[in-house]
Amino acid sequence: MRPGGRRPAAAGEAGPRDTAAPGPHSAAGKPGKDPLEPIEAAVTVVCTLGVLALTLWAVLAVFVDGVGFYLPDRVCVADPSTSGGGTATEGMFGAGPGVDVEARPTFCFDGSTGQRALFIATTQLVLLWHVGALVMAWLLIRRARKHGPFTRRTVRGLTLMGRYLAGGAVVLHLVEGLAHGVLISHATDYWGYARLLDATQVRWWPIFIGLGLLTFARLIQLATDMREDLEGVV
Amino acid sequence: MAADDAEPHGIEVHLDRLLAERRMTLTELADQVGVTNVNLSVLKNGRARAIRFSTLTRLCEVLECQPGDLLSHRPK
Repeated sequence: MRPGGRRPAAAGEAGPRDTAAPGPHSAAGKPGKDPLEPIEAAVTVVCTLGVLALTLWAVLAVFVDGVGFYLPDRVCVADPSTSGGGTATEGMFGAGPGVDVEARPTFCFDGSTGQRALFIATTQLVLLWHVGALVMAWLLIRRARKHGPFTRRTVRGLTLMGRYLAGGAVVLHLVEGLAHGVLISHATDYWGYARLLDATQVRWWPIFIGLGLLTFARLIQLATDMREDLEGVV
Repeated sequence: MAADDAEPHGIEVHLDRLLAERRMTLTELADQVGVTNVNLSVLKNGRARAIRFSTLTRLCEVLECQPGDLLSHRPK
């Protein structure tokens, strides 16, 4: 191309700073390569189903007896980090000759109001953490759709979500381990906090996905810097 | 990105003065150089981060000047 032989200005042409927002034709000019898919479709479907289920539950809670939010009468806590067995267990489960049964206990008892509240809070915390991750993903995708994927907003959102997933999984493990430990210690004589030290009970996938998002955020930061440099070139 | 976030530099662009001396508008210059009005405005207002040699060549050809007439360095 000869020097300065670029296309002349067209009326109403987008300025150099209007190129961040993604479009279906923005990825290397190839149609159908939307950079925000397929995660946008997946998150939208899950969020829509979640809102529908929540609406249905709320409607049923008003009109149908027995549907709603209640404290359970009994507290049932499983201890996945402990197992045991014996002749009685093998007989109970109909084990054949030469077959050992290792059962993992679930302790059910009539808890006090505080114990029942602790049990429910722990269960709901896990649910809230999942819902929170979904909402964050939805907001992140929405902002990326509006302002463009290669922006500082996206970098901040990815960093926040990475910390939420990785840090949240660790915090959740500690909270669950402690809460279940308190409840199990009430039900048995043995030390009920083994779950805290059990590596198989740690949610490793969110931790690794969170760390991956933190790395991805740094990559997007580099891409954002490059985009801004390119847009500043005349 | 806002211009305020860009790395600070001490390069001044004298496109305003050169245009005034040649009684030329930004649109006319943009047409002759072959860049958009928006990009030339970015350069004129000191918001550009870099300038291509090809753009500089065309600017110098059209304005009949040297790069030093267009750009200068002001020490901080």
